Amino acid sequence: MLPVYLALGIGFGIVLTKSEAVSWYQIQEMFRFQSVHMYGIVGSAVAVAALGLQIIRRFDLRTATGEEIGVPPKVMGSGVRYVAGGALFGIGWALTGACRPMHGVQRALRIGSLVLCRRHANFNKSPLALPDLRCRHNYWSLHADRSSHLAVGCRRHPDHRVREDR
Amino acid sequence: MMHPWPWYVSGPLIGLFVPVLLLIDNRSFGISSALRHTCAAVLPTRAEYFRYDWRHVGAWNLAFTLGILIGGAVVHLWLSAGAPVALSQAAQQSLSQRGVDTAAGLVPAQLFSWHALTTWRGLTMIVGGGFLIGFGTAYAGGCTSGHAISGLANLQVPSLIAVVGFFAGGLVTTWLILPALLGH
Repeated sequence: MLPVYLALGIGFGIVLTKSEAVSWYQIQEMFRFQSVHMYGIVGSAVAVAALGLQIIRRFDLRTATGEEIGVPPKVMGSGVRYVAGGALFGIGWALTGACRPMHGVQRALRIGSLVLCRRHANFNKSPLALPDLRCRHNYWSLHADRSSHLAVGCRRHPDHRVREDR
Repeated sequence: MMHPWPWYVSGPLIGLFVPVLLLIDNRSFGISSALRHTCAAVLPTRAEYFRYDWRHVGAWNLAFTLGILIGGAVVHLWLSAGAPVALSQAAQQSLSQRGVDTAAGLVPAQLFSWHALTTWRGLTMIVGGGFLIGFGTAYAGGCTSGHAISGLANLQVPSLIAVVGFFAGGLVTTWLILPALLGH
């Protein structure tokens, strides 16, 4: 039975990663209300899941082994644990841009790029590689590429440009 | 296949996992419990919280989570065109204004790398953020899959409260804390 779950997990990981739900940028976009992407994902997922549940209930479907299907309702209690836990999680979520499965995915992606040295150009370069830009005052730029540094300007000395010989 | 998928494709696919997991063996879709099962399996502790038959209750979850890791690697290695994340114009602008490079793949390298761990900001965001995620998830009994998707699909009020909590925390962070951390 376990290999089935493994396969399902692989499928889920593929869907999550292809939908870019594992991206810090997408999370930021969501919290700034600048795109419908994440809301669309969660909204349609909930709709499809709810529909699936209704179908299961209506037709009284059973599991593959013939057992009844029932989801135990969550205990409400005082509600504190949900609000507090949820808020704490939300803070961490916005900071890191990752939920639990996504942490795993990001870790896997990073390990993949480190070990096999592929696709450097568009994912974290080797994490030990520091950005190569300095402004005239030898201030390390935070931008990984020249064009965005020029666009925003050197943070400490906004009127200075990147040294052209680098 | 090589390009990112739109939400109306991936969303329904994700939603399908809820009834499918139920139909297989009455498994409630939720991933964060994987940590609890891992601790129960591995830690030599006598706490009540970890004293349950993790093999029965949670082994499926561990296999599923392992699959997620593999799936992520599969996409990164073979199914990705390597383009930067497709962000809206507005998002790109607001992030660039704060000095975040938007072309660096799924996650901004300057905020999340080994190098970043040596800075206070990086430490706060990575370790602090990670801790908050772990603690909050365990406290609330679920993360986005368990509460936001399964819980809401099941019309559970505690899940709705949890999701409201997620958003409250996330919004506060995005609008108040991150600007402070990113230095503008």
